[in-house]
Amino acid sequence: MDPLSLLRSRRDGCAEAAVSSTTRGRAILVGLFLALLSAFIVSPVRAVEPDGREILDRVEKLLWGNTVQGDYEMTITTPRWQRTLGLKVWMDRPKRSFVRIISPAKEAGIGSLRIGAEMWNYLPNVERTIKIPPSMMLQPWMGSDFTNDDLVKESSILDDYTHKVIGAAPGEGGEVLQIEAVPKPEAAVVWGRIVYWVRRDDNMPLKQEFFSERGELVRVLSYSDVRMVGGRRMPARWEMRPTAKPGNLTTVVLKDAVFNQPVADDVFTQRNLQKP
Amino acid sequence: VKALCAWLALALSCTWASSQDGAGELKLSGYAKSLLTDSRTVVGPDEPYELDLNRLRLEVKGPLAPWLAVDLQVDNELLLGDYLGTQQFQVQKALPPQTYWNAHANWLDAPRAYGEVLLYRGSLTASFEDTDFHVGRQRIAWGTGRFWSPMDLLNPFSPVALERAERVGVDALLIEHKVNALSRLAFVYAPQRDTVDSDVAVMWHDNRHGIDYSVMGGRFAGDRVIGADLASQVGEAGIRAEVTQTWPDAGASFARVLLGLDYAFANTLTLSVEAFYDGSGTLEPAQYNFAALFSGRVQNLAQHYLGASAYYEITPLWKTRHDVVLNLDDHSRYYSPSLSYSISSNLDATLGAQFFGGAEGTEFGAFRRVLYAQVQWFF
Repeated sequence: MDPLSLLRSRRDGCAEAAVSSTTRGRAILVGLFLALLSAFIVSPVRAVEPDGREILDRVEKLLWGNTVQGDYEMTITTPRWQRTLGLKVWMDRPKRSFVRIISPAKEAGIGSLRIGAEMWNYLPNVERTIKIPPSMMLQPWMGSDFTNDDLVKESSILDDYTHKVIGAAPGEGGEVLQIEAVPKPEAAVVWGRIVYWVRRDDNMPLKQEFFSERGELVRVLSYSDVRMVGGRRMPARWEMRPTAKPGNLTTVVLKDAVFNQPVADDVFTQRNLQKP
Repeated sequence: VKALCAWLALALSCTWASSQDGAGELKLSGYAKSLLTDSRTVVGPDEPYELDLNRLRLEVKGPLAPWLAVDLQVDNELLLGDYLGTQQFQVQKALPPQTYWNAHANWLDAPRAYGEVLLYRGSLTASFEDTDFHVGRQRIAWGTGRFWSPMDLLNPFSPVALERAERVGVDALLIEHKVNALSRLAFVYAPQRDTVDSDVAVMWHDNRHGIDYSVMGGRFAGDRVIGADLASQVGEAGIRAEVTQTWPDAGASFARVLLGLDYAFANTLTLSVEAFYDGSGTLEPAQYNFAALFSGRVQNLAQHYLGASAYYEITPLWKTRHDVVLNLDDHSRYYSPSLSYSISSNLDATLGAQFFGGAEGTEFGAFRRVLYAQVQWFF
């Protein structure tokens, strides 16, 4: 039997079963009714496409998971010099994070612990744990173009901001959505707004633009080198460029990671912080 | 020398044991530093001097077994310069060690060169469930102060020390029990050469409503002490405080109080201010005990002080720091600027100075200007 006849046979069989006690005309009416009904059912699904918050939630989950235990390499580049730091990161979103510098030797052992809105640093050269004041969250982390807040993610793009899809444009790999995140009035965040560029089909982040409260573009975070890391396809190279410092660049490369596996509670303790 | 050889043997055996049972990696690290200073002596005749301190610190740290870790840091120092011919250096050499265990040996004593090897840290940590037992030479950092710290009675430090990051350890047994992520109960026993004066203390550390706090009570060098500290925030600024009350074996009880404020600007400028009251000090400069100050038995002489520091990263490679300390009672003062440059990832160079001002007989008026240059390589 040729494939077409098989297809016809199946279709006919289904029709016969569905309308076995009806005339052919009623069957057509029922078919039309079902078609209209399914159109009504399907249309609302398309209308409730993921909103801005949901897309950013997917982006955050792609980059960080619910938990992540990862090895990262951060390279800070300026026109005159370059330095590279090796980091181990543990994150239990959204409440807890822990970062330990493992190289170079000068900074090895420095650790940061965040629980909720509080953060502590351990400085091995003075063998002391220091509570970090909120004002320090906005300082550059180890001379990079990331802030302390970026590193431990105290502020939450989901909870501290409102979100709106403000545009869509064709881009490499498909349609790209622009999602604007504006801080809530009560949120203690530094940015006036953040614009995410996210590919619609797979929620792949392409870049983030950070604007000051005066509306000036301050820095751009670009994502690239999409590949499998920790069992998921994601950008493994993140580049932060401050617009006011041409030639400056901080690159974070995700070397390896485990996502969505339980992280021991002992990681997020001052006891662990003091054990470099 | 035997003791240090024993520590070295322990380190090697630790490395071997660690490699055998796969407990994890022992790390060998450390630094080499050369610190050149130019100043004048304050003990004995007033003599100008140059001193070049060269230090090689070797560190072995890490797990020996899943429940056991080691922290071994040995310094090998070579001092060069005409400082070695001064009376001050002879007095300094004769001072008794500040630690219970004299893990220190001299291997060269020439007119212009002096070599010694000493144990900077040497401790084992055994961990069982939520409890850690630390035995040996270690740093026990209690308190929140930067210039002064009334709670830091086990490792007291001077606000005008040239190498402020270098803290003499204490030979002690420290037991810490973790209660939750941010709270712990600690007990410390630090024997002294005179067993009557052994330090014994307990400390509770916790966090409530965004406030880190500790309460402590114990006996230090024969004095009974209770105290508390806190670290929190007001608006965007960090605040710190410490208070202790001491009942000496002889004499009236006294209090020490520290208040601190920190603010960090996004451009990396970080400011800290501390006010300090020390009830054990005196308001009469004529009663200052300079011998105790210069030997390190006390860290200050008067009662009221103000300290401030400013730190700024000109670029991530160029950093500058400025410290000011004022003795509010005798109006003497201390100012220390420094400029550091990161030559490469693990190589730093620093130029700095210490300036002291005040009338004759005042606390900081007794010190002499210091110029220094330092190169430090980490590995």
